[in-house]
Amino acid sequence: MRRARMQSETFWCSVVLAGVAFFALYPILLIIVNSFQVAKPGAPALYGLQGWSAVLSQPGLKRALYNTFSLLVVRQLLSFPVAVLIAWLLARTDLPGKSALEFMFWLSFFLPSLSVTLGWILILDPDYGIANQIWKSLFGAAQGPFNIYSFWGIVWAHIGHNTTAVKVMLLTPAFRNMDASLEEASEIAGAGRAGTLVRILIPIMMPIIMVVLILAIINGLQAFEIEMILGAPIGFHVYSTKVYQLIQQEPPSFGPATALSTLVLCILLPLIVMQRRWIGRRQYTTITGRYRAKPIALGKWRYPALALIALVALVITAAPMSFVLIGTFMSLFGFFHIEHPWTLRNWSRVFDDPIFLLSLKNTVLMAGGAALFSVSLFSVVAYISVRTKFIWRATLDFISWFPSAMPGILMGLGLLWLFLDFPIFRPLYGSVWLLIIATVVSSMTLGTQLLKSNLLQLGMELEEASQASGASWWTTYRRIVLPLMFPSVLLVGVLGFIHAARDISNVALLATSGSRTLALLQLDFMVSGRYESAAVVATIVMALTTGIALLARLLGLRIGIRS
Amino acid sequence: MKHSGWQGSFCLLFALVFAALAGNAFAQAKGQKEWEALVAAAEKEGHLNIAGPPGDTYRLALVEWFQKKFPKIKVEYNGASGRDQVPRITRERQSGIFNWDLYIGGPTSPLGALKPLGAFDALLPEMILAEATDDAKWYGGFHGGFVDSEEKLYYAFDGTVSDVVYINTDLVQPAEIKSFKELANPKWAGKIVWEDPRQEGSGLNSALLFQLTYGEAFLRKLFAEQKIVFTRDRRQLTEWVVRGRHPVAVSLPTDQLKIFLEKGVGKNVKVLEDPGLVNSIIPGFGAFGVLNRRPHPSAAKLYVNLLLSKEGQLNWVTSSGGRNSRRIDVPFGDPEFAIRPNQKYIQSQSEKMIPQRQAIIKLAKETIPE
Repeated sequence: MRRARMQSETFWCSVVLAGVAFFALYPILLIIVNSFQVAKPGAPALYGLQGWSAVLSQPGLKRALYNTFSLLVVRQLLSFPVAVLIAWLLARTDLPGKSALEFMFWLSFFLPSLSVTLGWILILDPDYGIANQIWKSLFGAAQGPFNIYSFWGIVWAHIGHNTTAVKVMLLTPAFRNMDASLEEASEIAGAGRAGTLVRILIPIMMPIIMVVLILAIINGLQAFEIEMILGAPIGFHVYSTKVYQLIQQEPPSFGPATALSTLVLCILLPLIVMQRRWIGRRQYTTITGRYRAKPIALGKWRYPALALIALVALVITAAPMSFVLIGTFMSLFGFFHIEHPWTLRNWSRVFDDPIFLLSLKNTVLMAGGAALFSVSLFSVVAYISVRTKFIWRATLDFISWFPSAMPGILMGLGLLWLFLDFPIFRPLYGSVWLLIIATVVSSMTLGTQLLKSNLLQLGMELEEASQASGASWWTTYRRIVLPLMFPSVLLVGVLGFIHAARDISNVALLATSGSRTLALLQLDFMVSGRYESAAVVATIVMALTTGIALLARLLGLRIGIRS
Repeated sequence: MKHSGWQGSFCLLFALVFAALAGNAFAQAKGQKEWEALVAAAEKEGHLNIAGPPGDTYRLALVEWFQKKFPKIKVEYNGASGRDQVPRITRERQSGIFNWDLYIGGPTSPLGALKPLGAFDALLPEMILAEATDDAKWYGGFHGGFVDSEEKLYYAFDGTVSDVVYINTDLVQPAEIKSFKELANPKWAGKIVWEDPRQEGSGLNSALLFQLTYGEAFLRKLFAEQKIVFTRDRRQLTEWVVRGRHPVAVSLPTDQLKIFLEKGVGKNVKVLEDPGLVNSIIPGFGAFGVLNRRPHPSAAKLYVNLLLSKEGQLNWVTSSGGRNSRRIDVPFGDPEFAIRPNQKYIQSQSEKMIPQRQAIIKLAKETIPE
């Protein structure tokens, strides 16, 4: 009986492994192999290293890499400690209004990057920025101190957008899963709050902290929108803008872009190995049968802490959100002195667009589908990686990292080739289904690793007790595992939704007129230079996501762990 | 006899005129019949799939008018840049999928990647509307619009003349730059913004015109020494010039400037002329090819005939955000950038120019300091 169960488990785990490997690895292999293709269009295939050698020896690459790593290090040094502190305060303490504050960080993550960056330009432009104008009028200075077009301006635009917010979003549920008795034991042993945070909480949170850090590194290597806008005037180039330049060429240099993109893979692989080794050394269980979620009383620090977090939330959420909203009602974003600065025309242009309703329907379908598929697939992958004895579980976990290593447009190209190479997908070609698959694959790393980190916190004894009481695996999963994991499961669903709803790069090559989404409509407006209408579409996507996130949080608060 | 001679001549002339009129009427009747048959066949197909340029402006300009005229033919329009469109169509065709009827967009990508695959059919056999191919109606004759080397596959109907240098007149006076060669003067270092010539687009087009007029050394000097800001964000480029952050712009996008002008700003931005500069027509997205093995041949045929007719080009100049047509019987979308009959122009996006354009991209990559 036990043997049959083991065989069945191995079979199903192998099916999942094969499926994940097929969708996550095959497209990457295709584009890597094709990066050696040097023949001209229409000529027979010819393979060589010319594309690789040309791109790796291109001028300015070393400087771009230096800029990339400088930005990466500074951004993480500034944002990580702040995010850990905020997540701890939100999850572990009696901070007033913490649920609303936590949601503000979610909102910050939902904000469209272009509108936020334009908003920061409006405030911090060295010539006409509002902050500099105020400074000059207050102090009679010839020049204000702020310059968004600088290294520190780029750092600020990242931190002020979602560098901090996404970390808070990912870390808070994990901190919430901490058992209060660990903190109490630490304090009884004489450690102060700070000592407990540094010596107990952070080490035990290491799986999720490492996941967030690695994801931040990958994101830091791939982020280019802010750098493109703010770096261009000062000739500040980063690695990802180099990749972007290659992809933007006509015809696009996909081969050299792939060659350059493999750098992320080269950095990612040792990080994954390190992470697995680190996690393998210790136990990170925090939720056991004796779990207590008692919040720590902040005492006299309660209101100063509230003020600090409210200030951060205001700066990274309320200010950018007002940029976005104001932008949707402006005739020309940032021009307040024109005759008619305010208008509803941007909204009517969007609503009157003949493809708006279809795009909205497709977005809801695609993002909803992606959220459901993400949650289902990633929880299975995470469960296999953490809870089973499946011999290839480490490989499965390893593969789940790969989709994040490739820029979206290259991953989209790989998926396009995959879908066209296998006739089984032909009936789906051009439908929303392929877009769902593409967005689920591209968000696999974040979702899987988030759920995996949460599963690591979950003690086996709860499941063993349930099964010993006669509950089936499904009942145990439904009644024990799922409620404990629910906030994280919902977070993954929300992240899957927003990722799919906003995704342009992964779906640009796969969408047709019948399956176009709001993100592609937004791109249409941006290409036409109608940033204000693009901001309207982004606001609609944001509103959709916020609605979903609110529902998810209500559901999560009812079912999940409450602090 | 004399009398009968006159009568004979009159009869012959009458017979000739009658024959001509009858022939014309017959041809018209035949043409009308052919047209009606085409419309019926296209409506029977019920669909038309266009791989077109990105942006809502072009989507509306290329789809709405046709859709209104032929509501029974559903236009499936996928708007994307050549960068996205061409690799997709290439791979689809390699996999035996022939989804698209027409490719509308800038010539460089399709001529560079789709033409070598033999993806296009000749245009002329598709043309049945006599007025659409009437040489007298087009600048340079109808054939003047072909941009492929064989002059039969890829057709540029857009007739917008390229503009190169703009200034913010609050900060720079037109008299300060009489010839664009003066842009190499150290006085302008750090003051110029340019749509990145390391990728296809009008920034590259301007570089090509500079090279053709003033030579490679001039271009090299500009790229290497003038501390030019290169950007790919066309809206931002325009805003920088309007606000005076950069008072001189090479290849400022006029469609973007129009957005500012509509709102009452940007009146301080003026285009400069250099009489010595090579003149060029830059069709932008106003060019197309008929894909072979297309799923809806009749609808495609109907569309291209209508697109090149007076009606189609009238729609183009009125709804494409200020583009002009090579047709001379339609008004200008933007008179400032219209073809002037007494001037000579090159088609700077033609297939023959591709090697030169690629050489400039290479030069720019090597020379622009990073």
